[in-house]
Amino acid sequence: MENKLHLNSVFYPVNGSEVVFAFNGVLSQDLIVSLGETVRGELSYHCSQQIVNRIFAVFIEITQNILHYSAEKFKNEDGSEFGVGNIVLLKSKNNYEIISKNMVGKKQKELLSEKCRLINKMTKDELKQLYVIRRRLKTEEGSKGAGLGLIDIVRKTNAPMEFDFIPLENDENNHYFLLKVSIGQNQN
Amino acid sequence: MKDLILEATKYTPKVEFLADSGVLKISGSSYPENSVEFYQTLIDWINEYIETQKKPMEFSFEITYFNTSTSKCFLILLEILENFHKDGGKVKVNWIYQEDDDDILESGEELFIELDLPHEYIAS
Repeated sequence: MENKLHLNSVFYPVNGSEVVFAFNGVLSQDLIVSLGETVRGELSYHCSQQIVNRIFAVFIEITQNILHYSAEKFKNEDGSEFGVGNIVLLKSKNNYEIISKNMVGKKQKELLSEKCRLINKMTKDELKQLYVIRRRLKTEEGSKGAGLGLIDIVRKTNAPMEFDFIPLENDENNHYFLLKVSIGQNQN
Repeated sequence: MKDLILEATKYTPKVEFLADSGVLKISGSSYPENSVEFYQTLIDWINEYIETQKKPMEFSFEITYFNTSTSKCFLILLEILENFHKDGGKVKVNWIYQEDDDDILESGEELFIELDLPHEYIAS
């Protein structure tokens, strides 16, 4: 099952939920660290340490994915590149939602779409197995990631991801990748 | 051989590798922008230690959070220690976790699952 997210409504709180923060722009490592501290600070009032740690972990995987893999890049004077994207943390009565949006190219879209569908169908044990197997594979030359982030996200949230790809106007080579995950404040 | 000492940052762990005693420890959080680059320094030090010192090693992880790309680097590092062990080297790994942090304990168990390497889980 693929869940359809709506680009215009996904970032806005509904049913009494509130925005903890919303960010749109260049996601540098320093910014991720600062936002991560905000996540920890906000959550520590409402959740157990275990839930705080899990939501923090999911937040880091999502933002570092954007930093490394967003097709929309900001280039620094020293040649270093940072991904551009959106990240929003919403709080509702019983859970937190992390929603992200970033640009992906055609090939990336196919790979991501296939990967998300596959991971969403897997049981806890299958996800664990896939994580252990994938971690042993050699990392592609030049890649900064381990290709484990999405698996980790589903394992930590204990629920399928909602995701969608939105075509861009006047740009048939790129799409927006929308991702939404939620974690209950009291889940085990 | 020189010690390898790196102070912790908000997103990289403190590193204390002591050449004389063979006591190696990393502690704190680990989610660098480029984990491979950060851990390469540690891996190079360990490879040199194994090649030149040929002494026992005790490696302690006391990590409170690590991202997935760090987890891959941990495995690479542990595989080097595993090979040292298989070649007859004396090595022990301590996986130190906060007493109520089942997630970190479990992530340790997943790392050692397929490794032939003496290790111990220690609650702190």
